[in-house]
Amino acid sequence: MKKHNKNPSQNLASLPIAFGLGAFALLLGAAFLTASAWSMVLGLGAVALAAAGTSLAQKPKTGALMAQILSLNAQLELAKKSGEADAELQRMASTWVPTLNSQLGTANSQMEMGIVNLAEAFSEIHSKLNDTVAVATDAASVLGNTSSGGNGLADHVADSLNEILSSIRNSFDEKATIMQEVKGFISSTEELAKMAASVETLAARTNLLALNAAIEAARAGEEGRGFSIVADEVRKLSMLSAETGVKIRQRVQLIATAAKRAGDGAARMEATDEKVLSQASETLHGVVSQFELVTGPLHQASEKIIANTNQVSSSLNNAVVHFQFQDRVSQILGHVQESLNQMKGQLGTGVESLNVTALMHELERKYTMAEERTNHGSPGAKVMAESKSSSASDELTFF
Amino acid sequence: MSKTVLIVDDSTSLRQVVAMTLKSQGFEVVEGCDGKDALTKLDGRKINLIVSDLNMPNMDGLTFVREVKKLAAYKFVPIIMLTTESDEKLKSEGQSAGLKAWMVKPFKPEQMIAAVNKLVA
Repeated sequence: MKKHNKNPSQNLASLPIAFGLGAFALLLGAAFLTASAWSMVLGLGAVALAAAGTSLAQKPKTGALMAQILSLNAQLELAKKSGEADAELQRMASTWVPTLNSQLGTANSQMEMGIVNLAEAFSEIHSKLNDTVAVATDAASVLGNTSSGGNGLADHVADSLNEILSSIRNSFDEKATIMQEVKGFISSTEELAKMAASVETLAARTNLLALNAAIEAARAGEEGRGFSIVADEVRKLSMLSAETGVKIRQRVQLIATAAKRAGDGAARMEATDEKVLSQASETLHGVVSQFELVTGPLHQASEKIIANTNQVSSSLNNAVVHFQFQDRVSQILGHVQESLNQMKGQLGTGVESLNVTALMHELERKYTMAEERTNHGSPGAKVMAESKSSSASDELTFF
Repeated sequence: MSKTVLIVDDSTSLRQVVAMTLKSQGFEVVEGCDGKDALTKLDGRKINLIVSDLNMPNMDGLTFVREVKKLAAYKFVPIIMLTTESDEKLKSEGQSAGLKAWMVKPFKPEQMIAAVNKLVA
């Protein structure tokens, strides 16, 4: 089309010049023939007027030509620009998209690394908390409730100490019983001493009787000889009895002395025992009270630790829900990266291969979350998102 | 004796939080980063329950479940699908494949513990 316009415009543009040259040649010939310059001057004026008239007649056609030339120029510029745009699209596919993808990949991996480290630290905290709760629970159960007289540790200690006191008291009571026995023994030995003295007395009297009998037997002469022998024997027996009585008395005396000494010692111990028992009881009760002063606050502290730890555990459980954001973000970023790669693939075969509908369709196909579908603006997505409730029955389904 | 759970997910941090939740209840855990990797862990060791993601590279969750059901030693091990998906069609497909439960992410620890305790009891 452009070529068609060129020849007519060229022809039209050369016509005035041709006519002008022809007219000048004619005037020159006329001046030569008439041998007068005036005819030449007049003729030149006529040519000038004719040229002016011609150019005026040509002006509208030149304007149209200019307009056409300008239009052609603009199209040329556009063609030049679209060629540049094509090149720019190619550069976008080969340089910008891969760079974006790298940045997305770096962001994703840095986020994952950060969350993994955080989750590890949290896991350790969680584990230590569980250990603390276990230890505090054991301690609390051992310490027990000391204030209301339940089965607390202090009560157990008090019971044990009271048992010891009771044993001591029992042993003192046993000693007292023994003391009584000793006292009884002492009074028995006193009686034995008396009995031994009686034996001696009897023996002395028997001896006297035997002497009297011997005297009477001697007086009786021959007939009293047998009686004299009996009297002698009786006298021997009485002397033996007297000796035995003395020995018994002496032995009983020794036993009585020993028993008295034991009795005096036991009496002294009894007085001391009472004092010791009293002091021990006082001391033990003091110890139990001090023990309660320690175990009471310890028990309360253990229970507070358990309560605080349970609160922290509850907060950690909430944190576990929030930690899972990284997985969701990672999926979304992955889908974006895949779509960018697909676009790159399309542009790689030329701008004309770019198919946004296909890209959007493929992107939607990969979605795994309701939020992605909502962002995509797919028809059912918003309805689904609005109607979806966050009840436990939606989050967990058993088959 | 403590029970063992196999956790399958391509997200390391997700495996970590599931492991942390289960270990706090005394469970032992074994991890796989996708279906293919998880199958290599089913090498005769005792597994009481499996928690698997759905969308994973190399082998997705549903394919993994179907492969597990072919293994005689692990055929009756209960499997929970843990995923961001909540589509009813997918849930139905999961049920057909042999899943025991479908849990939507993000999961709550008390929910996970209740579900696991119910299925391994």
